[in-house]
Amino acid sequence: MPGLRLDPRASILLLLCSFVPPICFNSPPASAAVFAAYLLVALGALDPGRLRAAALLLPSLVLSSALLWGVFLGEGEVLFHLGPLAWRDVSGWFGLAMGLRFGAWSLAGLAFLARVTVEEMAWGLHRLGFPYPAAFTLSLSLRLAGQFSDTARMVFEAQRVRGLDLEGGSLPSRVRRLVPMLVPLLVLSLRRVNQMAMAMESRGYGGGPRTSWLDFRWRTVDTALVLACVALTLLCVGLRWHGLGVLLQGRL
Amino acid sequence: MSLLSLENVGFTYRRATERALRGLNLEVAAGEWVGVLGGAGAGKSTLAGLVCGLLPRFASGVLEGRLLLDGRPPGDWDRAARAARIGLVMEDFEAQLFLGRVDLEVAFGPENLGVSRPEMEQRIREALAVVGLEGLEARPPDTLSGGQRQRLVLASVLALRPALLFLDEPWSDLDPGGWPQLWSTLRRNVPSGILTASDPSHLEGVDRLLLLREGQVLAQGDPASILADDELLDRAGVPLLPLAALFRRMGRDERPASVEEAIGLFPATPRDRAAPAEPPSLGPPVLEAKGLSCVYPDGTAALTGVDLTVRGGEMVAILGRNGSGKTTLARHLAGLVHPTAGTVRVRGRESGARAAPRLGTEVGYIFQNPDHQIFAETVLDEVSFGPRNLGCTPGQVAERATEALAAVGLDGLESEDPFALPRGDRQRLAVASALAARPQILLFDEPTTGLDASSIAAMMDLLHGLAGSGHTILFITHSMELAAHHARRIVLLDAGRILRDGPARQVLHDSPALDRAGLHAPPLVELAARLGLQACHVEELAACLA
Repeated sequence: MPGLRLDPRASILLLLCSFVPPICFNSPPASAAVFAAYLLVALGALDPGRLRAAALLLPSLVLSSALLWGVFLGEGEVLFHLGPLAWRDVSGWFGLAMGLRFGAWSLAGLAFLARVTVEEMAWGLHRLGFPYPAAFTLSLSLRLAGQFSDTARMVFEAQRVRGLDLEGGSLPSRVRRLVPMLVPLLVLSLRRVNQMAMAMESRGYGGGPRTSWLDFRWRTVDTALVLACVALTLLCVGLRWHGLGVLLQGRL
Repeated sequence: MSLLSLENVGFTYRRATERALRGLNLEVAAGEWVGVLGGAGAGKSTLAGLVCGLLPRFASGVLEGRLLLDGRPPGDWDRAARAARIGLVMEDFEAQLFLGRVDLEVAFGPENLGVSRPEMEQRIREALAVVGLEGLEARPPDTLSGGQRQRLVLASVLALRPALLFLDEPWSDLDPGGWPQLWSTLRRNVPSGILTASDPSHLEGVDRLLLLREGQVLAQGDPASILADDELLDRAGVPLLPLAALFRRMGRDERPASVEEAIGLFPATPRDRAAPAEPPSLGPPVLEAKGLSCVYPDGTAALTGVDLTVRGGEMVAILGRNGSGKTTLARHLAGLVHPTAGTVRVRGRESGARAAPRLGTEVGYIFQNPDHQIFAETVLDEVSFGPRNLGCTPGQVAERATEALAAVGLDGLESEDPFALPRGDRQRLAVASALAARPQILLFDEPTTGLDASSIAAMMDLLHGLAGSGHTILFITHSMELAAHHARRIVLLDAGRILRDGPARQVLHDSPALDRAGLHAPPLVELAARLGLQACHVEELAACLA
């Protein structure tokens, strides 16, 4: 639904709801069904660039989860050995389900960030009862993360020109070589944050009751989607209650 | 009653031994714009922090004297009420943008004041119109050019509709010619304010001038008479206006305020005066770009078919408006990035994107902001970083570091903390760090940004010294004056293509090309052109007119 613009409050509530269904199941078929549903939603929400990033990230997430759980959970029959480590079938299937669960959460988060700007998120959180300074600080830190990566790129180039090579060598030597990156980054970031705080205050931030340029109206479609999501969430909880979609009882 | 009143105001930062400001008396009345002129350390930003109520809150220190904004100390005001009385635009514009859309950025101030939505809409529209950003409301600020972002900061403060505006050198990234146009719009729209600068050419049209040096007032009053007092300006460490500098160089007493006035002071000038001789012959090509193109992942063509040959010993300025491809070209020449198409050859060898640690050994790249690279505890360690990465022996490292520090005039400061150096010295330290890899070609990205007049002069002397010792120098600049004064050759870029490439005086006198590139010739070039001369800077013009 590329053209659909929801009220940010609805988007936040949908995001919160979306964390529940994946956690209800730990069998691969049920987790795969939930994952597929989330993938459909994400396909409608994400731009090609983010989809490509998700396509690169998710298979490795699912496979590494299956591999690690399969080795370390210790449930089921040993299917094969990875050197000194044994990979067990039930553990592996459980790991696959966990990978799909994390994948579904990632898709939900990506879809949210693709459709809701950080300012809209702050607006929504504030309208849902969060104190404005907390909501604004959250949005500001997300925006600063982007600026931080730009600064990091420039610092890296400045040091690369002076011969800094972060490739190769032992782990301790690599860590030591990060110092010329981290010090300027830290100094510049602290300076930036201080200047930003001054700029915010000089523009009246923290002065008292404020109004908002962003303006959203809660519409029927918001109510319908939130209710549908809550219903689906309750359905998933009910299925879990009856033991459906569960590979290992007693485990989330 | 004055909008702002300072009575014997002084300020000492915590742990500082000297006052940053002392004994300052200043009244700013409604309808008045006051210019504050002074070099680095004059106290301009401290003054901004004090009158806007940010000091001593954000940097502790001791305030002396009496400072009143509309009859009350700035610190006593409620933040929103104070923001509606006095607006501040600081030099570092990037730190003043923190929202994801142009309209949201402009709305941030009015939101904090509790302004209603319909009025906010009007304020956003008006503020964006004043700075020339209409129609860009939905754009994310990080997709705007540096100059547009700087205008956006101004709009976001204008939307507060402050009675008094404090502008602390807000032009670092504006295109050449952008400030005079913006300043004249501001004068029409904002009745009162304070404008600080380290170069008087940015202060044209202020009602009153305050001249500061090391936190102390040297003079206050009529701008024309202060700017005509060469001795006073010399004491303050600020440059003369270009036309005044020309007349001083010629030993004349007049100090014309405009090109028109200057022309009237010359008798009829023969139009066939010979231009000064070209510099001596240059070495073989050391840097060549052929068909260089760069297309960003989003499809934007940053460079298109650039052909450029630079010979050994040349001093080349790369000019162009924001987004014209200057920095992208420089990054390709330095081997920091692979071209989408075309080649870069350094001394005949194709370079492509070179790998560390040899990256800076042929082409040294000095970034605009030295703080992007400083990390060591001492100046010597900082400069030794490059040679160490190259695998030099301790003896070679010491030899290279000492040599590089001497070349930039920082010898004797080896054990100093680099973070404690003034900005001008940190910039020199960045040059020394590049020199320690012993490259023969040096690329400077805006080497004078953030420097005051005396530091700019010192930096450009350094560039000339390096050129004199056999280095090939390329520098990117926003400043037409800098290019006119220091470059022998100018490469003029527009929309990722070379629009003109030739001797500086030829390019600077090519008005159609400059117009197309959105640039304007500096006043001395304009004067020379009106007199039928091809000179570019004070010395050349004085020699022609002598």
